[in-house]
Amino acid sequence: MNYERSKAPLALMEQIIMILVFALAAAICLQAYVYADKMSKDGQLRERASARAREVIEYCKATEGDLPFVSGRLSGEYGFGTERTPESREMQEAPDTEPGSEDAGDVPDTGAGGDTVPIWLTVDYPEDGVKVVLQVTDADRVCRKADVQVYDEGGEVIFSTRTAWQIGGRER
Amino acid sequence: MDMRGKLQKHNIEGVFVLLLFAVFAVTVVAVLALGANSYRNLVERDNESYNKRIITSYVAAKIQNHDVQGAVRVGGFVRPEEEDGVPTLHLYQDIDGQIFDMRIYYYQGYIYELFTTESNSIKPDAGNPIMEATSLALQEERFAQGKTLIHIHAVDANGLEDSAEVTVRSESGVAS
Repeated sequence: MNYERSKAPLALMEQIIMILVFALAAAICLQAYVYADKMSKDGQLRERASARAREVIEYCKATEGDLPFVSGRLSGEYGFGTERTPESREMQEAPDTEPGSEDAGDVPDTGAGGDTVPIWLTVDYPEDGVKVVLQVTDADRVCRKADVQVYDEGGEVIFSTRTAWQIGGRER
Repeated sequence: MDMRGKLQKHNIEGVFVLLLFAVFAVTVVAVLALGANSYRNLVERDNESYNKRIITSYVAAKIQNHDVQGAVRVGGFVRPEEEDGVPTLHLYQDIDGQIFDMRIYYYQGYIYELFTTESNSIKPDAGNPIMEATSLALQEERFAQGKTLIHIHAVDANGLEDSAEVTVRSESGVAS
């Protein structure tokens, strides 16, 4: 008797190839989904970080950099250092303070010759999982400049910016 | 092998192929559903973030655009110094010698904007509704340094809260 050969193995082969191709495509798609989700979450965190940085900056601008006050208002901490003023910069750049000389070792990075004043501020926002750190980098008669960095819970910088605020003022 | 045995073998092979195809179809649908869900989450998160921020960003931008000495006030709807139940941001402008007042306030489910003359006793519903919201709170804080900080707290139509602070830089004048 002459029986017809089964076509099932052929269909099976075809399906196996189809599944393999699909598995590859699905793996790429899943990676893309996960990456997109991570990017979206990171973006949201950066947005919160920038909003918090802005809050600290606005308080500093409004109080002309009264860091103890801002620290009290936002439940943060502040620390002291020497302001980097034009005078201290001149002192640092003076020819008798060459690198390696005895005097050079006495000049701190933040400046020298000025009074010790509050120059850094940290504010924790546990509800957003971020920490804002503001460090005054430069100071003169009418202006203070500062670096602002926002850290995530892992201690990585997720947002950073620079700011400046005016000291004093006069009626126009 | 007899005829019956061969037919049985064909049936089992056919069922296996069919089963494999069914598994494949289910997996395709599952991956598609996962993708759709992932996309929906992204869009929802973005929309939520945008809606949450838009009111405070709008008010903050308006304050910064009108940052002229004495031009930014917070208080009652008709006059800043008279509380009348509609907390309002007043942004004054001098146009050809006449003082105009742009008022931004929350009233009956919407953030309104109204441009009128100073101290005009017009009704709050005369303004243009800008966007849906649940509330908008504005607070003015004056500092010893002569500067003013405006606190903005907004709740959007979906109940999401956001707050922002804006310093009115013009208040203390120019440093010299």
